[in-house]
Amino acid sequence: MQLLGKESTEIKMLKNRKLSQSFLGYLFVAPSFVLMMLIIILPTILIVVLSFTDWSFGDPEFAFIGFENYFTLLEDDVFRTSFNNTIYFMFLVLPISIILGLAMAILINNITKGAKIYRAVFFLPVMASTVAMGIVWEFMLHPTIGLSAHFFGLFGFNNIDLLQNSSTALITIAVLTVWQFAGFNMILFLSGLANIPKDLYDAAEIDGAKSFFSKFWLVTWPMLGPITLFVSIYTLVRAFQVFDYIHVLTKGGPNHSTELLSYTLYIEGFEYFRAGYASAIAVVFLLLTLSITLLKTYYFEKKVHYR
Amino acid sequence: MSALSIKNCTKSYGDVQILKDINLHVKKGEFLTLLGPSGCGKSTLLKIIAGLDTQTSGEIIIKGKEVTNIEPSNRNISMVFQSYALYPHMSVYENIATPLKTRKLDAIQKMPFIGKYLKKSKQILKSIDKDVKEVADKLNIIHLLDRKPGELSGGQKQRVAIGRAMVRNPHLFLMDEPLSNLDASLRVQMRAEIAALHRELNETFVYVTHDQEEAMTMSDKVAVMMDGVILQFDTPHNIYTNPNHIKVAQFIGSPNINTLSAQSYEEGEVYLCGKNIDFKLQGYELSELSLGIRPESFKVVEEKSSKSISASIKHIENLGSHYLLYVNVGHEQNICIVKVNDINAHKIDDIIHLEVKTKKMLVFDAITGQRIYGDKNVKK
Repeated sequence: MQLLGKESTEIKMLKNRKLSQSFLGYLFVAPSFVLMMLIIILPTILIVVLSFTDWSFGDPEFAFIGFENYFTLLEDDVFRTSFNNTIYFMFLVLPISIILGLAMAILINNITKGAKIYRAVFFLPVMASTVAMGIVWEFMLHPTIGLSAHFFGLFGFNNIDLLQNSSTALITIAVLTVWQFAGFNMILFLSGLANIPKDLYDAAEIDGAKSFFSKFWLVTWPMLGPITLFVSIYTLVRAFQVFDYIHVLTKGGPNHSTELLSYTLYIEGFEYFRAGYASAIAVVFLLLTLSITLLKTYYFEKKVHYR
Repeated sequence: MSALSIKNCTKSYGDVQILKDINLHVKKGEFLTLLGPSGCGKSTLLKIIAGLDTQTSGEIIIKGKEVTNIEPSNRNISMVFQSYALYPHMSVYENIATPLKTRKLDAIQKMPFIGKYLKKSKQILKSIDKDVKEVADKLNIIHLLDRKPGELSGGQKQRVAIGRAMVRNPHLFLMDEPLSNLDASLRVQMRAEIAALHRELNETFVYVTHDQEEAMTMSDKVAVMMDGVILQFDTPHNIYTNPNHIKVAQFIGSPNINTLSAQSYEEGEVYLCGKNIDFKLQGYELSELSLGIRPESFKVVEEKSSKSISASIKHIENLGSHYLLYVNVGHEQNICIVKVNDINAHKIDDIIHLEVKTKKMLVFDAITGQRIYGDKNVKK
C-alpha cells in the first residue's frame, strides 16, 4: 500500500513537471500566437465573414446576405475583366521575368570583370520605391515630352501614348513590372548558380555534353529546380499584388484594361466604400494565392527536391 | 605504344608554377598512382589529362594521339570524382546511361517526351539498357537502379560513379581521390574492389591520392609528386625501399622514416652521433649527410659497443603485434622511432643501445636531399 502510495506521488510529481513544462512552452509561444491572431488570422476570418454581408464603411447597420456578393461578382463585368487581366498579367510577367532573370544571372556568373557593377545595376530597380519609379516612368512614357516620344519619333510615329491605349497599357505595365522583378530573380538565380558544384560540369563535359545548351539541360536547369520553383511562386504572388504602378499611371484605365484584382479591390473598398463586396473580392484573391501555394507544396515541391 | 604519355608538361597560373616539366609514360593496363601531399599539383595534372584544364606547355598523348586540342568527351577517357559528381535529379539508371545517351542519341532523339518514341531511338535505348544493366550487375547495384543518389550511402554512390565511368569502355580511367569521402573500413574494402576491377577490365588507370596506403596497395607504378615535380616514378616496392630523394623517403612509410644528420670523414667512414657506424661511402668523403633509417632498421643491442648509439626511451606505443619506442638520440635530442617486437621489460626513461642495420640505411645529401649511392650495398 505504502509502495503504491509512493509510486503515485512520483507519478504526480512527474505529471506536475510535465504540466509546468508544457505551460512554459505555451508561454513562450504566446506572444507570437497572439500577434498572429490579431494581425493575420482574425482579420482574415473577419473578411470572410464580411463578404457575406452588405456592410458599407461607416454604416452602423448591416445584414447577412449569404452568397449575394459572390453572385454579383459573377455578373460584374468589371470584376470579370479584372480577373482575366490579373491572370493574363501574371502569365505575362512570370515567364519573362524568370527567363530574363536567369539569363542575366548566367551572363553575370560567366564574366570575370564588372560582375559586381552589373549585379548592382540590375538590382537597383528592386530597391527603388515603386511609386517614385511610377512617376518617373510617367514622364518617360509621356506622349509628347517623354523619352519614348523621342524614340517613336525616330520612326516617324508621333503622339503615341502607350498608357492610354487599351491594347498596350497592360503590356506596358507588365514590362515595367518585369523591369523591377527581373533584378530580384537574377539575385536569387545567382545564389542558385553559386551552389552548383563545379564537379558536375566537369562530369557533364566528360560524359559528352559539349555545348553550353547541353550542359545547361544536363546540369544547370535541373540543379536550379528548387530556386526556380521559389522564384516562380514568389513572382506569381508579387505579380498578383501589383498596385502602385496602376494607381500612379493608369488608375485601372483606359476602359478597365489595366484593372487588376488588387486595384478593383481598392476601388470597391476605399472609393465606393462597399466593404462587403470588396471583402468578397479579397476572398477570391485569397483563394487564388492559396491555390498557387497548395500547388507548390503538394505537386512541384516533390519534383524539384532530389533528396 | 604507351596508353598515356605526358611530355614536358607545365602549368602556371600567372607567376605561380603549379606543374614543372612533368614527364610520364604509362603502359596499357597499368595502374598508375599520382601520390603527393595536397597542393602538389596532382589533381591539376589529372584534370589536364582529362582535358578539363589545359597545360601551359607540353604534350599529352593518349594511345599515340596528341589530345591537347581534343575535347574531354572525345579523348575516350572517363573520370571518377572525389565528390562522385552524380546528377542528383537522375536515378542511378539514368546516371549510368547519361554518357551513352549523350553520345549515341542525336538532338531530335534526345528531345523530351517525343524522342524516346522514335523508331531509331528505341533501338539505341535498348542497347543502352543492356549496357547499363550489365555494368550494374558487375558492380552489384542492380537493386539500386531506380533510386536517386540522395538515397544512397557513400559506398553505393561510389559504385554508381564507377559504373558511369565503366559503361562506355574507355581506354583510360581517371580517378581523383575517389575514396577520401568514405569511412576507414569501407575505404579498405573499396580499395580491394577497385584493384580487382582493374585486373578484370585490364585497362589503364590513373589514380590520384594523398594516401600512401592506397598508393602502395593498389598500384603498379607510383609517381610521387611534390611542389609540381615528380620526384620518383617507380614501383611501390622501390618507392619504399629505394627512394631517390629524402622527401620521398619522408612521405612514404608509416610511422615516418627517421632522418638523422651524419658526417663522412676522410676515408669515407660515416659517423652518426659521433660514433663510427661501420659504413663506408666512397666518393663522398668529408660530406654532410642525412641518414634515413626506417623504424625497423634499428637493432636494439644488449651491450654498448663501438658502433652503437645510446638512446633514452621517452614514450612507448603498444600496437599489438609490435611496439614503437620513441627515443631521444644524440646531443641534439632528436626523437627517433624504433620498431621492436617485444619490449624486453624496457620502461620509459630507460637507456637502450641501438645499432643501425646499415644495409637498409638510406643515405642522402644533407643539402640537396638527393640519394647517395656511394656504397655498393645500397646501389640500385
